[in-house]
Amino acid sequence: MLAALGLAWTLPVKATGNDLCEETLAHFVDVLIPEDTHAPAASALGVHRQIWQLTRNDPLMERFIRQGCFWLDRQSRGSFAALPPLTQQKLVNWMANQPDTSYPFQLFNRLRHESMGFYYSHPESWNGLPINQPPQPLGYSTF
Amino acid sequence: MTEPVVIIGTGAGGGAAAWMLTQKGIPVIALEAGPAFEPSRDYTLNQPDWERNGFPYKANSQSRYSFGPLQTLDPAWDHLRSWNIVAGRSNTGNTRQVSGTGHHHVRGVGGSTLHFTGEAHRLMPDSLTPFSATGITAWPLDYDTLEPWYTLAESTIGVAGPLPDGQEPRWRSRTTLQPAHPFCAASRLVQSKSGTDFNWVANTRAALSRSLDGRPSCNYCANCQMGCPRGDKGSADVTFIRQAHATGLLQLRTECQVTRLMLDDNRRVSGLLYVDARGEQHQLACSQVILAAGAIETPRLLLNSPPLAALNNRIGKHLMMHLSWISSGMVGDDILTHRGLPADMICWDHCHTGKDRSTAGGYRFGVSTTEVRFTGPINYAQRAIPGWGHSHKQAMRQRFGKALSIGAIGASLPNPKTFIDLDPVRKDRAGMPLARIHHDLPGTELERLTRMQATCRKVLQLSGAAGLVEEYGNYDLLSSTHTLGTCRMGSSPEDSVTDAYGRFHAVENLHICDASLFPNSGNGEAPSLTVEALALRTASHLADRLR
Repeated sequence: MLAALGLAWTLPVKATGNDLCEETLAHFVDVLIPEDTHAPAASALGVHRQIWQLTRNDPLMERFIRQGCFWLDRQSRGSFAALPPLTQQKLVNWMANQPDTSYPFQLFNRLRHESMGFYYSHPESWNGLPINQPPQPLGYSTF
Repeated sequence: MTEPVVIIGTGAGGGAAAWMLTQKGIPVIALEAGPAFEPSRDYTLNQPDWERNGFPYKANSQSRYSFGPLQTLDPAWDHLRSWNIVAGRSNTGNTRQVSGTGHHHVRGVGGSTLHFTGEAHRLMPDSLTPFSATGITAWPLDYDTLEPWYTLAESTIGVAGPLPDGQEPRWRSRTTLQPAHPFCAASRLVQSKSGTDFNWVANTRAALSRSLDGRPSCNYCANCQMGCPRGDKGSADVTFIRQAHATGLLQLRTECQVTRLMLDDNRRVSGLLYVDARGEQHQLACSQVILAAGAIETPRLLLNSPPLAALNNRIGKHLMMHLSWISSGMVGDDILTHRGLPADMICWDHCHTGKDRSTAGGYRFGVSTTEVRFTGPINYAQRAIPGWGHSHKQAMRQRFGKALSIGAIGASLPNPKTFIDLDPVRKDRAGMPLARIHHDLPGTELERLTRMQATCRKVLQLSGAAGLVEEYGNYDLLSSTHTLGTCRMGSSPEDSVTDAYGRFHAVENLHICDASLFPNSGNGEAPSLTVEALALRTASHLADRLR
């Protein structure tokens, strides 16, 4: 599949710098959670920066994220951020359909998990959902 | 004046014991290894990222322990593997894994009642006195003996529930229950769709339906397990401990970890050693000690106190962790899963011991959607609604609020491979060996878990769930919220650690008041109310002796 996309899958061999990582992450999270008529894209809410914050005080997470960004850029033959949107989506789709235990799926799944977790912790993301408040202090009088 | 009773641990058991003693004019020194929580400040349900925060565990608010080798997973039981529609199998290996902390608990003032849902169950009479042909160990007391103490516990913490009908075997000496809470939309759906197959009733819940003792009634925010900032949930800190404090007789010392009990020549506990938050060691002389540190830390402290450990070879044995299974699916109706009281409805149809070994051990089940945290968009996005991109955002808007989870909790029967001992290598900051958990699920347990799975799936199917999105059980993931046994009560030191009052065999001034006392696990009933009832009974008995 990657070959069909004009991309080549290789294992990560070195890390990517902070700025490049954040840029790659910003584009990746926007593929996962794009802007629409109800709610902003993930990067507009700073989701990529919140993911990057996870790497503070967690060397294993930092290694995982750095290598993941490097891997994404490597598959993109340069920069994931520079890929046309449709190609970004095709790469993400390919990752999402790899076996559960494969590196591409693990990377996709972890970034998806964190992206969704941060995105939906912003009330701006709740537009269009039947929820408009945290559980307290009001609770619910009807249920 | 009577010398203070020293209580180690301030959860359901220690809190209830402190309450009873102080009500009877006995002073108490309570040593709590963990911190205190301030509900209105520490719990974050008023913040938009409440789902990410979860329960706000603090430094030292969870014990450290280790695990022995975990069992290899047999393909014959693959149907019991945990999975979800987004991430696939939760455990992709061939060996059982520890899920999170494995033994889910809180170490702090109030103990695990701080993060419990608050089911307030009396044990079924046949849980206490099972048919002998089942091989299940009977309790050394029966339901009639325990009933007045259940009544007292319920009226102190505030429990809402249904009036007993003619089918209910747990008789009540007086009406202590507040009116039952109204069912949430999910429970109404399940009741309407499966009510002819299953006998659904309101659950008994330690959450106020009417204000009590300055505590407000529940406002149905659906997140009991994240910590209740209003104080309407009947956790030990806002009930027993608060009222004990009000007597002026409770001296509470937090972040004080007891490391050793000392025994004198007359086989009495003469004192104990503890380490405070600064790491300084203290010695405290004791005339009476109540040990209420829970089913992991209580046997650990006894095993770390060699003269006591030498007196009884059952310490740490008979560990039990309730079986649990949850199946989740999506329904067509909007059932508003972010609203209502968790675990408001229950079915007791299978909560019976059985009549022989082949049927030994039952379970109960109910709607568990909010308990498994489908109460906000994060958990929906991460676990229930697969995909990404525009289509995922659309699916979130179409499907949020429509997850239905049915959960069953069942009996755990002890076996020789399931016990607590001391880790030969790992130690805590005070240099004391950690508890080591050995846990094994034999085929008889997995057969019960399979029955629980089938029931959960049947309820989902009857309720109109279109396919499953997640299943979670403790076959491939070691995960326990109800950890029991390890210092069980009985009539003889040959097969138990304490007598029927929780008194350590052969040590006159040492009592145990926690879930380690359970001789059997019941049939999945939540244990906290029984822990409280036992502690009230033990402390009352002790107070009467001391006065």
